[in-house]
Amino acid sequence: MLLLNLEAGLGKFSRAVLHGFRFLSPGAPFDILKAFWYRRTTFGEPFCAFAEAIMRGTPNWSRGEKELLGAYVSSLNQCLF
Amino acid sequence: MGNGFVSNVLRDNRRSDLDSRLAAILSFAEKLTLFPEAAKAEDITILKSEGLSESAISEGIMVVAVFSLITRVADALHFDTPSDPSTGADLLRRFGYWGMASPWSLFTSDPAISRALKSRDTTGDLSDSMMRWLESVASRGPVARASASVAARSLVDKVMCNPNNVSERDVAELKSHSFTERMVFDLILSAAAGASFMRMRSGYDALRPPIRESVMVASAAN
Repeated sequence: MLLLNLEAGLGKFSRAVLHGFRFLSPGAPFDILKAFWYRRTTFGEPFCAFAEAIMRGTPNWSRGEKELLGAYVSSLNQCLF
Repeated sequence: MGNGFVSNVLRDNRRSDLDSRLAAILSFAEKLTLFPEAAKAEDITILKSEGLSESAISEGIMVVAVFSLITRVADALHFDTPSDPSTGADLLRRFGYWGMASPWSLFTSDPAISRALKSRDTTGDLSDSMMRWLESVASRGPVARASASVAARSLVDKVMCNPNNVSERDVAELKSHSFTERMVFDLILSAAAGASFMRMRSGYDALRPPIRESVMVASAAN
């Protein structure tokens, strides 16, 4: 992770939840959570609300088809995440 | 969909056994991702000839926009790849995208903001709202670029075109120009939003000209 103090920039409650997650689910993608929570109001909440609405709320493609499309875009961008 | 099927599609989206609608939207997504300025009304004609509605195409454009943003943030910040990919998938299944928005959203199943967005028409308010949000986030970039330096412009260009190339040296250079880590993060986010906005606008410019032309014709007739 390039910007190492993202976690230090989180509030106490966020850090406690993150620690809980590490304990319960060690392989989870923590960096994405840290990025969302670091800029919660300008990034995490609006982005996740749009992603939720688009990936799970729109009617033309199934969830699986949309995840496949997303994975394809990620692979074109050479993103392993 | 099985993992093997997905892996094969990622390797070759022109497989003959792939649903033709899905193959068509994957090809359009490829163009929007790699050559967004090349998206044209002719591409939309091809998609429609495969039976895709404007609403389905609009959904495809929005999915490209979502992943164009998040992959750039992940690559530019060098996110650790989860040791077990299935854990991330499980997290998504249990909490959805909204569940990851904040520590509190993990405990709220379907908040008003997400519910309101879900109820909107796919081709209308949802895409317009997302484009407005992306534009507002992206607009912070030029402010930072003007106030800073070659280093900031270089970082923005890397995030937009080749986010894997963002390095600790780029961050150190910005910090030497009095950038805090929060400012660097915001700059990366704004550049990623700009790249996402550009792809969304190209997609909708290709999709919407017939609508605009018909409105102009109707206006002229009146």
